[in-house]
Amino acid sequence: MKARKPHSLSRTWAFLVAAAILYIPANVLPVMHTEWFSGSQDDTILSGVVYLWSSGSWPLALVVFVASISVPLLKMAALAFLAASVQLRSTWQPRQRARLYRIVELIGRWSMLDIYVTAILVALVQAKALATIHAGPGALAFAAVVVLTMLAAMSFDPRLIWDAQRHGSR
Amino acid sequence: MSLKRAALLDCPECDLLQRPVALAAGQSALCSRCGAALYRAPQPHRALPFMLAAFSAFAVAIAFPIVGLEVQGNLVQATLLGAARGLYDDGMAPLAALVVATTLVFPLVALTSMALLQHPRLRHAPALLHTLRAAQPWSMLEVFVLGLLVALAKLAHMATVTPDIGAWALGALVLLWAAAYRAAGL
Repeated sequence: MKARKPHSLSRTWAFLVAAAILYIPANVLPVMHTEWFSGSQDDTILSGVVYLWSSGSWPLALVVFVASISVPLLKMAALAFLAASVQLRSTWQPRQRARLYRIVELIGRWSMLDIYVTAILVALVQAKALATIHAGPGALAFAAVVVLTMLAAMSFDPRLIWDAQRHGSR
Repeated sequence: MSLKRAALLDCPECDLLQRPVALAAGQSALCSRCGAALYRAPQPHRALPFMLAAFSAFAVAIAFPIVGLEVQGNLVQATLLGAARGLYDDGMAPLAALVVATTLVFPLVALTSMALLQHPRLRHAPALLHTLRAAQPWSMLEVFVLGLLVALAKLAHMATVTPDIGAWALGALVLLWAAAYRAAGL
């Protein structure tokens, strides 16, 4: 059998708390700064979604909203729930909780979407294009949130879910 | 993974010991308690061709521009590395490093270890499997492809933007990757 992940719960909580704190600057600070001859504009993640929505690409606005806003929030909530349930030695629905963990692991990566969008826009929109786009401090915080939540998910050992079950049946 | 040697197999997610069963091609075995994927039936004759094709697509995706933008006769093109370079020049070195790591380094590490695992002698090499499992979550090419789509939509209103050879290669790479992963029984 493979060795257990060391200090699984405390590491999961540590990464989660750090991610939750950085989630605030990630959403409040601008992720993108656009400059053109007549002015400039700062965009946060949410205002980027609003822009996509109002410019008519509502399917993409929905995709970005899910990837950048819903997924990080749901992921942090789900991991906190899993860690808390293990800590309380809950025997409630282990199979469903194991499934929740797999979903969290699967969807977390899609939050990197906004970072890639920013990277492509920054590289493409330069002086020659009559406007310039720069990455804002929010992008750094947002990237940190994505990495931290992924580390939190990796630190969590799903076998802990089944430990309480084993003791309970004895 | 060591099906032939071990009489019992432990679930990686809940530690339940189970007896492996024979699978037909394309089937996968799930843990009877928690439902985690235990192993898949490999299709070895397909895995390596898919992986070699994926390597070629990767080479094209790196070498050629991904998108081009045209404003008043000026053409600006961006490559995969160019996107990271832009962030670096912008004073966002950590972001540039993250982009390079998740779209270049980790995908290459994962693809290489997947290909090496196809060698008969290395089939069950624990170090390779470990490397693959560690690199897999951090290789995010499919997310990058979606990001490209969103970036195109955002720019469509201010300039003429067109996906270039590199973008098609990236799309092909994502599909070939999934096919190779499946065929390798991973």
